[in-house]
Amino acid sequence: MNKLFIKGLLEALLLVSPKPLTLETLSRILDDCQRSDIREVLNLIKEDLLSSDKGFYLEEIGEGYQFRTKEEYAPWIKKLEGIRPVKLSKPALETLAIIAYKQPIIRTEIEGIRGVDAGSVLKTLLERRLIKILGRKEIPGRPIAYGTAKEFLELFSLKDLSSLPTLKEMEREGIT
Amino acid sequence: LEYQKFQEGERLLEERSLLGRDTFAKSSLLIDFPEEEGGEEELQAVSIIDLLDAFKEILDRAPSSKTMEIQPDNLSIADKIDEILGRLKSERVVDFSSVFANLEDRRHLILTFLAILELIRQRLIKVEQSQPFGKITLYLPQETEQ
Repeated sequence: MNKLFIKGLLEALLLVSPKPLTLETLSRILDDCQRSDIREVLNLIKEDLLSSDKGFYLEEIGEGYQFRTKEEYAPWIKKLEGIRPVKLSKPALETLAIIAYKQPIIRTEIEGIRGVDAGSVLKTLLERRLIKILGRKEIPGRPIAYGTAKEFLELFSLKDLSSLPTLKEMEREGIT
Repeated sequence: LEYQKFQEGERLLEERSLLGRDTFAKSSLLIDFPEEEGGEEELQAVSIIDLLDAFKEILDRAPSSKTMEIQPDNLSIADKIDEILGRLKSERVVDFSSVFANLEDRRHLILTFLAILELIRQRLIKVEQSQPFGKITLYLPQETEQ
């Protein structure tokens, strides 16, 4: 396969995939290609889209690649039938932020920070698959520890957890 | 004070290019939760009787061992619980009977069943079926720990 063919093939795969395509998946499909070659062509696609006047770009999220529409088109895209804009409530976003920055975290810790019951928010976030149960903390009662799920990265366009914007507070304490 | 710190985190998250608000993609995330196979069946709660019936069927299918084998066996209900939770975490929905697949030893079957009962008691899993006498499925409750 020559590079031009691979480029087209990758674009086609990216177009139809319902979730971000990982290098792992791509190299399984293009089984006679080196991973590094695939990555190289992906970067080529990315640059091509950036330098052109296309309506979308290639985003790297959660170890995967996904075509994304440019932000300036959002108001019109929302008019498209079947598109349901994502809305996160204030408590959901707040809880998500706490979990994102402090995972693994248990329910009582979240409630301690927010000062209100977290049960229903956690339920919603679990349902929307934005968070997941990481396991149990080895402290009395072995409470469930929560963390963010892959879908969290996708929703917030993050490449990985380390690309979360750093909090000033944490910078000062040298945690990050 | 700690609360304020996370308010900043919240703000930073909100400023990001949010999928479904600022940017769009062909993504299963934007479509609601995928329906269970078979479409829009209402899920019904499962009674302990349904569970016992389903378990009895599985036991009946298991080969009855004529010879008694006594093996040192360290497997506990706790291990089974972890195993089931582990599967649920990765698969999200697990068919009741599939938990028993590949298990032939009756003691393992019973241990597994006890683990499921314990998980239900502790409300760590939920069991439902799509119709009376239908397949029973296990899944993680959206409810969290007490």
